[in-house]
Amino acid sequence: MSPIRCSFPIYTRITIAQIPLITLAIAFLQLLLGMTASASDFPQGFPEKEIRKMLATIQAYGMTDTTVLNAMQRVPRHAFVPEKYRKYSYQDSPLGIGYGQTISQPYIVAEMTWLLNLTPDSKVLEIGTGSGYQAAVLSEISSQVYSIEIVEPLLEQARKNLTAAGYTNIKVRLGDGYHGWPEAAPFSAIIVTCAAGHIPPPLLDQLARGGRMVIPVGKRFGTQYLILVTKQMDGTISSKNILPVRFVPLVRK
Amino acid sequence: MTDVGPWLQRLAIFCTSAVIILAELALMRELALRFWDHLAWLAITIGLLGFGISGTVLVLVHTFLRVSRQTLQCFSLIGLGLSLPACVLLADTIDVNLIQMVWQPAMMWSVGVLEMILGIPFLFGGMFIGLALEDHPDRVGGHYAASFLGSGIGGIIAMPLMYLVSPRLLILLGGCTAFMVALLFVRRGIQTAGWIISIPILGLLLFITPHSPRISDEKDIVQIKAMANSKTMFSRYSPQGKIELAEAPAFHTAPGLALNYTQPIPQQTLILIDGQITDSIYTITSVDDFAFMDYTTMALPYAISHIERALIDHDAGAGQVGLAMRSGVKEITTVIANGALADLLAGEIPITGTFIYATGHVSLAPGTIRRELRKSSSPYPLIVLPTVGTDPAGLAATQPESRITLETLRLSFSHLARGGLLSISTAIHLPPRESLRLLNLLVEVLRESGLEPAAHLAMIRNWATVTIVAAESPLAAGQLAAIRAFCLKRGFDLVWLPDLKKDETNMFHLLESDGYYYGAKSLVGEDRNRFVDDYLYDLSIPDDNKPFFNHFSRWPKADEQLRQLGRYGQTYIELGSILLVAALGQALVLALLFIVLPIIPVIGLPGGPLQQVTVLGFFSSLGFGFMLLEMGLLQRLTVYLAHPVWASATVISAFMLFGGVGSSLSTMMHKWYAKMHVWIICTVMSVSVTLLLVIDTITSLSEGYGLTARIVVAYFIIAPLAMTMGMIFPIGLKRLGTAQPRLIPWAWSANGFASVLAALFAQVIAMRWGFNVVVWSAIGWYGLAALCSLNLPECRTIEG
Repeated sequence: MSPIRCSFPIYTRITIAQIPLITLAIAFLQLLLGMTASASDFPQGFPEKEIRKMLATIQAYGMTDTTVLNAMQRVPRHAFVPEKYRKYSYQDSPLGIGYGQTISQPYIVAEMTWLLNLTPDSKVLEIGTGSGYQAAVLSEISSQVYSIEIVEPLLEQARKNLTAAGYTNIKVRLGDGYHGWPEAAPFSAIIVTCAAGHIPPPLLDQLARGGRMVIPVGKRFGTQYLILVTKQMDGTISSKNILPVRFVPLVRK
Repeated sequence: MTDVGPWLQRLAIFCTSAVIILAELALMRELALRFWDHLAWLAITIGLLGFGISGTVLVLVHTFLRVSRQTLQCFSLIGLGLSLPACVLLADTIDVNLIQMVWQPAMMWSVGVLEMILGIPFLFGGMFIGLALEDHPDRVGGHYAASFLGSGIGGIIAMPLMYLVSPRLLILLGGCTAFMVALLFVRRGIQTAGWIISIPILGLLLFITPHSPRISDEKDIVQIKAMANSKTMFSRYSPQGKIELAEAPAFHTAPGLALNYTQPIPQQTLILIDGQITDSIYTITSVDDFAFMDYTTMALPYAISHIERALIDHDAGAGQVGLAMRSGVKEITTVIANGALADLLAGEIPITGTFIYATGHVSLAPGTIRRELRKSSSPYPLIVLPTVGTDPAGLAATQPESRITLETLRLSFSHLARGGLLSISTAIHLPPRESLRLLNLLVEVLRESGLEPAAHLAMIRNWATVTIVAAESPLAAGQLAAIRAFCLKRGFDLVWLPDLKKDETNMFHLLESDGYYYGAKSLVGEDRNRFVDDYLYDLSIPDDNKPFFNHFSRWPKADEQLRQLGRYGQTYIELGSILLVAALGQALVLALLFIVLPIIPVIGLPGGPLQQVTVLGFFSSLGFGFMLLEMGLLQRLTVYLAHPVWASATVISAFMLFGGVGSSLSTMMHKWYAKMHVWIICTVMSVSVTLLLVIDTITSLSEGYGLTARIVVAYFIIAPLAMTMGMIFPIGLKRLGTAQPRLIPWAWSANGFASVLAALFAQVIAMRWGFNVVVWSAIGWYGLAALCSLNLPECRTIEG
């Protein structure tokens, strides 16, 4: 019995039928390569149109506080976003800034700022400077903003971002936010953007009576909901869940 | 090039197949290390996609190039050798942020690009095997067997190797091996020169290439390393993940600590698995330093009873052991699924704080809580189950969670002493999901035991955590008073007590609407079924057949869910499910584009319509059937072997090893192909049905065995099935090779296409209907294959 070889049929010329296929393959490869290219730079200048769109989205969630909206209108978010995500600057989404940290979703920034009930005289402490965006928004309302960041490269980047965007009145420093900023305490508002399963007792201690603390709970890159901690005038502490959703009733129809 | 004989050919096939499986398992670990476990399962799709495309590339190569088979084989092996390191290094440059996909769906293309790049080595590997199978039909069975056996051995040796080297180094070593095997195909003189030149070069490359992937920016370890004064004190690779111990003085964790606790909490050493913080070892000098744990909801059981003996799942958090000791528990058994971590905690690394494991009070038991309970004869006054539901983004939705199934809770409850307590905690997520599903599970267990759930349950919450306790006996008035006092002192809210009044709820941590209380009231009451049916999230009870505790989306109602959640819905999208569906859609596109479409204009579709339908139907049914069975068993045995890596290595190697034996047996058959084929397929179907009937009994009887013994049991479960399954494909190829060889590329293509899709479909089916349905659907596909095999082109050459 002679050996029987399996062999594939052989054609040596490209047929007309193969042309669309090759074109398709080239187009697909171009698409793939295009997708991996870095995002294009954001247009130069103050992007008023994009900011208006972002504010409209925030308002659609039910956030209508003009103080907060005006503050956010004045801060160029793209100046705080890494190059590769800059084209998404005014999309209502969190964006990675490296070292496991994010610049928060604009709506969350607005909601947290609103919950702090700030006035121009408020003294605010931010734990977790990140990109510096939240501090910039806070400083548009309050004259005294303190911010602590534990990751040195992030702090350096935040300093650069804030200076470049013209914010010189925000006090930032490298340190462990767990211990707060005792020299400047008490604070009328504290915003904690890096909670690790518990609220540091020193921060509760540095919160002024009648003061408010806002903490987003949940994974940095995931669903977060806000908790409002209030120190009553008698020193007792209460907390409240602030749902970013209004979907009552919970049951399916 | 030299014409190697059949046995040298088989040696090359054996080594290459071993390298391919080794690379696939290492890739699985590498993806888990770089990203999350949730992306690791893509390694199977990547491998299958590469293999599928290899068939198509071979068709194109044969069409356009006139090169000898040996030359192509040598080229394929060099390609495999070079692409393994090149592609993993190239993949490091692809930026993938899974979470960002919710807002930027185009990010999914990055996953696609990643898949394509990492699929290239498998393409070369598949080309080599495919070329080998073009040998004389009489040799094909032996070659096929060598391939199966090599894959099986590769799967077996992968696990011990993963203790010794990083996944990346394993991939690089695989590349070197492939390169060396390529030298078998060159002339002897060149071969010697090749060995002399390549060994030092490969050695140098191994030395200078980074042995770890670029870790995703979203991983905890990246943040920790950037913190001031932080340092990694220890790191070790293991099949269950890279364990790292890190000191980061600025990192303080005490999950759900009461807001009125004012004392500092101890410093801690962080335990990271694959770059994610999983637990902490507190730096303490005495058990009194665990006082802070008494101000968490997890301390509830100790407020209810004085407990002398406890069984604690280590995944409940290391602080739980300290809490138990501080609460006066004299005898604590803590089970740790991660054996390498157990060794560390047992004192291999001297860290202040691990001394609690060295006291006479605590015994460390490597394994699972189920294994420990099966072994144990005496009941426990307290069993603490792992803390679950810490992933609000839903990335874990597709991960089987064997620790929280009806069977686990049933077994735990049955091992409670008189008046004993079963305690379990979860993170608070709104709207309530995990905690209500846990409560529903406990209600089911209590009802099965003939008890009235309302009288046996206590549930509390604070701003961050929920704890539920199920008591073996009805909670007494004194115990209820103790719970109330415990909560009042710490500012915790009551969610359920047998005599709870509504005005006692939602007092400290205020919710707009206390979904916890209303949910609990409905679940323990008569409204339970209606509430579960109507609830926005799926609260159905996970069991061993469908152990997806973290999967809450109601897929058919997804639009309604999003509508009710309003514009905020996107933040509540279950990412794991989205990723799975996206991966399925993407795999379909990629498989069509790169496996099926390219060969249409090249070779057309030879044969008559009936023959075409039969061949395509047969080989695609085999692809679907084989992968569904393999994936179904892999998922089912993940619960039994308690870790996806153990299950993957065991199931893949067993299927390959015994499939190889079956393949060898098929070489002995020279007659009655059609009838024999149908009989073998029917045997596969019968064995599968039998397996469905007995697998629960076998696994529950052997659950108390050690890991090695359970792996052996798993091999015995798979062996008869894999052996018969391994015979079907080579017989099909043999029939086709002699009767209609022009259809062989189509056979490969159809099989590859079906395999790629089936691997992902298996996950979808398992999440929706459970593993049993995955196996039933595989049986259905084999039924279709049996029908098609009746009309496969007959092997007249050999039979005649």
